Amino acid sequence: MMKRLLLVFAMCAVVSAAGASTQQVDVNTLGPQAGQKALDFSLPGHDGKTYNLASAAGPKGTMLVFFRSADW
Amino acid sequence: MKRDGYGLVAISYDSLETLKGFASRHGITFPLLSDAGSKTITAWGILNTEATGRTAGIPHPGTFIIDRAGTIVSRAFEQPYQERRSATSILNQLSGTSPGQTTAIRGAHATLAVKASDAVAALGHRITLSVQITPDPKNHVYAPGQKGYIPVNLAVTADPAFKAHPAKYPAPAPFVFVPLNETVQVYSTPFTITQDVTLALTPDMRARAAKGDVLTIRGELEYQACDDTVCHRPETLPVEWKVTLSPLVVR
Repeated sequence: MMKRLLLVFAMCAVVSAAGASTQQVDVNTLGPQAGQKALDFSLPGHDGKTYNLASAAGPKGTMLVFFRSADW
Repeated sequence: MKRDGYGLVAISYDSLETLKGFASRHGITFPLLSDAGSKTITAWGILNTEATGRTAGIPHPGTFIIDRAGTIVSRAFEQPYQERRSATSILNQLSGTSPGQTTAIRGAHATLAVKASDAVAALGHRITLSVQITPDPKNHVYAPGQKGYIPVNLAVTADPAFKAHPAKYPAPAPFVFVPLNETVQVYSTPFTITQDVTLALTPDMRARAAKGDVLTIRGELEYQACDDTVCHRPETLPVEWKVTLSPLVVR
């Protein structure tokens, strides 16, 4: 399983390296910037609950991680 | 994570079924949210528009820290060629607890300040352990390579939980020991030895990280201190660093 994942990563790296040589996305310009308001969302969690910004928050706030996939 | 006051949630385009399976396999305790269809990812403006086929709908991976009022305080995105930043490193920046706590140890002729670069670290990440050594007034300790004396030496106890890199010592200064009219390489002012370790990605460590276990890294610091006239007996002091293993194993 892990080996397969690593292989996929390696492939992704090659693909993104190939893509990057033609056009480089400046990820720092993507999405809302520091100081701006976060867009709210309403999404189902794996634990069966539905979350938005307020319900996901702890006493100080929320750490929101966008990740590629849990599947590959 | 909770302890630091921020609620942690992770979003991907995966189905709930996929996330449920992933969470149970990896023992993930924080919510994984399903944005099947990538509506939220698109609305946030971070959709990877170059991704096609089964990867269509993935975001550019990144992390946002949002305060209670809904304002983005900080953000970090993976650069294509950059080593991935741990989500905890962003969190640490904010919470002010970023470095590990400093532990002071009093030796016979020197004081140690023992610290880890990160209080919380994810598997696969490289962290820096350090020992700052302050020789007592008028005392000096011997630098590595100095013959005839016991040079200062930091030894980390080997453990499958991490890979230890070579320790780094600062440049010493020459010292003339008048009674013997000899020049030796010493440290007579506070100096810091650093030792990097990379946290292992073993099944055992994954299981520990899933529970947010604390990893204790142990070692020993040996040194010999001398003042202008007399050399003291060498001393070996046990040192340890504590690092909380981050459960954040998502990619």
